[in-house]
Amino acid sequence: MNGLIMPKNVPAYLGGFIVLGVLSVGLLAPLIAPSNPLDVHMTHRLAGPSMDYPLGTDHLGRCVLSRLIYGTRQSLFCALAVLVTVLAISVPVGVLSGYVGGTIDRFVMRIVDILLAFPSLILALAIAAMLGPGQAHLLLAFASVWWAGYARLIRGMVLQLKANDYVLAARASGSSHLRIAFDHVLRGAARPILVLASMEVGTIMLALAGLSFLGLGSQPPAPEWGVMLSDSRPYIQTVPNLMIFPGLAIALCVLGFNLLAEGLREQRRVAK
Amino acid sequence: MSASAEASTELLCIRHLTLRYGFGPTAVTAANDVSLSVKAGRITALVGESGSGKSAIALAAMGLLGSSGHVEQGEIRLNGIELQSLPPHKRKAFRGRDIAMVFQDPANALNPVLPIGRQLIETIRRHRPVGRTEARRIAVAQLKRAGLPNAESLLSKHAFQLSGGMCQRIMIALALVSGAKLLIADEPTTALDVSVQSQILRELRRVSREEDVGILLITHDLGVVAELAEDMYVMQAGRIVEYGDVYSVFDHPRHAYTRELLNSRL
Amino acid sequence: MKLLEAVELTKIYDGQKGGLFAKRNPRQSLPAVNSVSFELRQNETLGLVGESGCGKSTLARMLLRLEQPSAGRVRYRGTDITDWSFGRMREVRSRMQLVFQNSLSSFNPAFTVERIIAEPLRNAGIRNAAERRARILHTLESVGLGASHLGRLPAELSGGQQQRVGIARALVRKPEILILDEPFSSLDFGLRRQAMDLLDELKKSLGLSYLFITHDLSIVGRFCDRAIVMRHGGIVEELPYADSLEQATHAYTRMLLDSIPARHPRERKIDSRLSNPSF
Repeated sequence: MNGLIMPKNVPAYLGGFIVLGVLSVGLLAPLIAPSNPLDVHMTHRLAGPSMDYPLGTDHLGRCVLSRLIYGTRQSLFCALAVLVTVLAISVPVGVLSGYVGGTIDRFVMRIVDILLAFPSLILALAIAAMLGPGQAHLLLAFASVWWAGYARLIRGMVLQLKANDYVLAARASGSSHLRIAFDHVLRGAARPILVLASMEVGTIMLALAGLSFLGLGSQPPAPEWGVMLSDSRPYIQTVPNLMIFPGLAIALCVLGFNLLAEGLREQRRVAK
Repeated sequence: MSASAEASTELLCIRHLTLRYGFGPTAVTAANDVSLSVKAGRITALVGESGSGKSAIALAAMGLLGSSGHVEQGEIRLNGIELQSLPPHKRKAFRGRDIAMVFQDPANALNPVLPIGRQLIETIRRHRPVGRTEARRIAVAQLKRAGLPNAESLLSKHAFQLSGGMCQRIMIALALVSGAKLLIADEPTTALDVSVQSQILRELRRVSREEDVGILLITHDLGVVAELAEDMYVMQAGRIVEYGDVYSVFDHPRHAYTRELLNSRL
Repeated sequence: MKLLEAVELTKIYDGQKGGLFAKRNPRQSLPAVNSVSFELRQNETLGLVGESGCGKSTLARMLLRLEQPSAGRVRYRGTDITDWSFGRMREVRSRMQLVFQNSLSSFNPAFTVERIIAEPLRNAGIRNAAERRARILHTLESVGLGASHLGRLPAELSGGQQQRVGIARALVRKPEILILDEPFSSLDFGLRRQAMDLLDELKKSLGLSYLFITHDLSIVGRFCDRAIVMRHGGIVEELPYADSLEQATHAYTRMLLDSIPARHPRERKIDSRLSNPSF
């Protein structure tokens, strides 16, 4: 169990490679994008690939490649932001609920039950629609729905970890609840949470793209993959590139995160 | 000693057996040039501390070494038939029919989702051409012989409804129900309370005496050996360092390790 | 001098949780420990003998207040600590410590030996890392380990070493009571004797008192001063002198004694009783 990833774990390496690649594309967008993703060139609209526009242009003559590259920021970073927010809510809630138990646990779990009783995407949609369009609103809507499943899962892990002899040993040696919760419970749950989170990034990205496609979340002219898909709808027959490239980008990202998650899970299994 | 001891047939004969786990430079030798034999109606103990390789020998005899373990040298004969040269499906036919095993943790060795009766009946029918009713009758008879009360009603119980001692006695019955004459008992009482331990030891003694079963008793507990075994082999780090009948080994241990084991008792 | 005292300690597990639709299972409300009273005196080793499920481990946990008694009192040096809060109990945790049956499972698998033994010291508010390390080393040496073990993970240690680390963790805050929960049963016989000698020696040099929980009467005679035999949550017999076990009168104790395997094939008990399986 030396290092983070053991050798020969192909999915982990491949997934990590894709994720790192996508992340760096997003971070370095201004350096690698051939043109400004918002520049409109009505004279070049719906052009095919060329030296100036490697993947062609869209219906407003904007560079598709540049929009894809900048879109990485929007799509990926939004998904990560949702994930961080979700974890920030669900980890403390789950740990509290599982560790303390009793009335608090019952109360929290009933709230979770209520949230889980609705289809999460539709609930997120409803909240997003209520708050009105906009990236920040979408994030908020997502996080407020998505945390529930996580909190329940983390609570389950905590219950399991809490039953370990070493937690009893820690209590017997006079450790405070806070120390036990952090050192012995949360620490043990950290890795599975990480695996789960990496698996979830893909799902969140898909959901976000879907909502943008429907017109919630990012608004045109912002370069976002879901928005790009939505914009390309009238040209499916004539210029299929417009739909194919953002679709591929989304697929690649989801694949990368899923591979990474798969690899990490395999690693945990082997380590055990 | 019992009459069968004189004229007993050799059930299991292991000669110059070397077992390894893994391949190449990282391979671990679990057993090194081990020879031992188990005769019908006799209890033979294989004594050693954890990691001495005693369980690996049991698994090799069962043909259950797993993917990384393999026989590097030597032979294992069961009822006179050399096992190593047989193809896997023929080896498999021996398991349960001629050789059976009971494990340390009886609660885990029984299938938790099937009732006891079904496990017994299926095992019987796998090895004997009998119908359900007949198999059931054999199962009940076997449980009664093992001294288990209410044998009929036991058949419908699940493993978790029974005590550890009860499970282990059922395991022994299950192991012998198909007519196996060689029983490998790997630490059969280590997970049990002392009062239950003596019940299990008594049951092992009974099957060896009354059903003429040969038992290879694998244990780290010299008390169990003193109580039960007729012959004993002492194993240390993959090698047999001493063997003989229990009286002579307990009275005159020749190897320093055996003396150390005997002295470490309380 | 009574160090630790149990007064009519009782533990009843009943299915309180479960809410609206939970059925109360009448079997669950049988007491796991039923009105047990005894005391642990200074510098003695008291054996608590019983088979699995007799309530001995629950009793030990109640004494340490890791489990709340349903009824009865726990007294430490005459002070009633039964209703002390979790925070207040931390004051006396350093005085009474627990050694686990399975050492490995009692260690956080991600912690090194140093960190495992450091935890009680951190809890004592010792922030100085150098001071902590000095005390850890001193304790490790007293159980026969050394600096080379500090950086190891528990899974990298042998069974005997794990046991010693478990004892070191219990000793590092200089307790006066150790509760030993089947400390030998996961060890090979050779190691058992070593561990027993070590505990004997530590008892003398540190002036400890032991509550020794076991299912094995054969160890009691060798290791304990007095013993209590438990069955079904209650005490069936008190043996004032553990070295004269043969004088035990209760049928259950006799049965436990009879179940101890022979020391020599000549002393076999099973053969003689084979004709009478109804026992």
